[in-house]
Amino acid sequence: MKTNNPGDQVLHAFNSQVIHFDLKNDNHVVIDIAKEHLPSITRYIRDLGGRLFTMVGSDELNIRGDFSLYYVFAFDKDQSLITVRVSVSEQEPGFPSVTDDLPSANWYEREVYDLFGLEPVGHPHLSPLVLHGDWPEGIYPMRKDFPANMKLPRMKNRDQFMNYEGEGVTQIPVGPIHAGIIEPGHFRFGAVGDTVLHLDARLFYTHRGLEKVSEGVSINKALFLAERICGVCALSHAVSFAQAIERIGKIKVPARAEYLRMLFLEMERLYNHIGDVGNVCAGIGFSFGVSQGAILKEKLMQLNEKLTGHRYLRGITTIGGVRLEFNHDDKILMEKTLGDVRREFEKFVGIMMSHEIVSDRMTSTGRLTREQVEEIGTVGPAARASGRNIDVRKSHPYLLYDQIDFSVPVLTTGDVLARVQQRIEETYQSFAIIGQILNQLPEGPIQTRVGEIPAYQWDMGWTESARGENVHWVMTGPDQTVYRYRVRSAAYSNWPAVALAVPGNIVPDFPLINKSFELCYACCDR
Amino acid sequence: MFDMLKKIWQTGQVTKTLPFEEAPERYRGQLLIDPDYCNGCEECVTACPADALSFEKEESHLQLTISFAKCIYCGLCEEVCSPRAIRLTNEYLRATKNPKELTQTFKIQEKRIPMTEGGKQ
Repeated sequence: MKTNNPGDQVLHAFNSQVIHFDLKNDNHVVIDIAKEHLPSITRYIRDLGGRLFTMVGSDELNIRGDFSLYYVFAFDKDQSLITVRVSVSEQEPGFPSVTDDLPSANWYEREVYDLFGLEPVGHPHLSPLVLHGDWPEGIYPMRKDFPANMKLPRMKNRDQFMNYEGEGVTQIPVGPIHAGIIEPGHFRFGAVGDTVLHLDARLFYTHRGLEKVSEGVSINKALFLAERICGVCALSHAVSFAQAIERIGKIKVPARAEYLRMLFLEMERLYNHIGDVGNVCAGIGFSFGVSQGAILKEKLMQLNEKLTGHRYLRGITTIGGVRLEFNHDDKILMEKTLGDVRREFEKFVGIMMSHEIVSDRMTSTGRLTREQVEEIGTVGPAARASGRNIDVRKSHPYLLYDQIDFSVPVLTTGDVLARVQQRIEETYQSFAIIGQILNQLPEGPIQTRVGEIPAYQWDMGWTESARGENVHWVMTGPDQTVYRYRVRSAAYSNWPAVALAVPGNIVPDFPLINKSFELCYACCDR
Repeated sequence: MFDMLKKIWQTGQVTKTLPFEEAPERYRGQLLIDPDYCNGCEECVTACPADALSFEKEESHLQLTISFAKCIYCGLCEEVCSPRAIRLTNEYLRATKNPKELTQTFKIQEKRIPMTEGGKQ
């Protein structure tokens, strides 16, 4: 028995408490344990170096007679996963909260309380998250007995925000409708003079119940829902969902299809990063940067449209492969366009990053420390800019990323400037990755025949999107349908970081800090 | 400052005026349906993720209805249509002020259904 394997270590330490364990895909141990042992096993896994990957509540009353909670932990050094499953009965819908020990569990536990009515006992801040204060109390929409088309009366709003005592604190409400074409979110600042003391963020205005709607829907149709979780991570979500299904069905995707998925996932990262580097300039009124970024992003999106038929790369993923032709002319077109974009991008960021307004406004603004990002579980470029080396392309390789030579830039200062610089460096890595993919792209089939997908099995798919890792947890139902679908997007993990980065900065810097994370609301709210 | 002005001058005008050029060849736009080829197998109805297609049984024929308000132009119907009655084009100027224009119906001749195994071989 290998003692350095985290799964074995946990099984060894909790030998007498483990009810049942299972091995899923070699490096993924699933442990069933009674709910009262949840905090102790969580602490043990955390101390071994595990981080919360996702947490899923699932109504399995009609399969096994209770609710299930799946806490999935990732071990980045060992490329392994541990899932801790606990049962919660309908009669006693409480379970011990782990948020005190593991702050990154905060939102997941509040969401499970909102949507399933399972109460995390001992949670330090159990306020509504997904459902707003005007939702009737005691009605839990993700339970199977709640029909997806149910209409409910609107109640008096019970939402509460931070109360400030004493003199000199001004409350500034912003949104949910903003002066710009962006998504809805309500922010409430407590400010002393110009300086922000505290930020309350009220999100989930774009909660469309996508997870609920996909229940009972055929897998092929659910893929289209996955693609529509968000606009700018459409491909990342689609590939994550497809990978989860392919793991459940043990479907081997042909190498050419995996390469093509990687190729366009990197295109997605490119157009996002380049657009975001430009768009962050909107936070400081530096319109040169905004338009230069937008021009380059547009060139990339037009390239996407020429190659795949869709600017946002929708409709090219299918279970078992891709729906995409890619020939020699496409390769030449891609190399030429990306060569032009890269040259223009270098010129543009050269001018932008040497401009004093950029360094004046972005340096030391919205700083997050490495301890902060590790504690709350921040992912993606926002975490890497603060020194957290986290990238699922390296730590939990999917597709054929282990055959590509690339590095993951990690910066340390954690301010707005670092997050912009982070994206610039990642952009160059993506150009290099695309170059390698185009040279290595193998010939062969792009789809494989998909057989029967077994019912009541679950697994996960993940991708590193432009904003960080998207983790999709899927349990299949009978007749090729989805039974439970939980989407944990990068934005879901990163929104708490925004609220942490803003206090101490001046109010006019909020748009800049917010843009430096460039988080998606729809991804988070689902 | 001068580097910015130089870059702006070099970039020049990038916006375009109407009429726009054609969409790229692979763009998934307007569907063309040829009812003469349709055999009424309903594969497209099963495949459509947006429930944009439907078949109704009329007295003497089948009627195929497509709603472009629901269609997401994914092209799955084109892929599964074995007699190639559905074809996606790159036509994209699809806006209309009259919602009725978004629904099209086609008569499918009864003689073509049901598709027999013999007919296939």
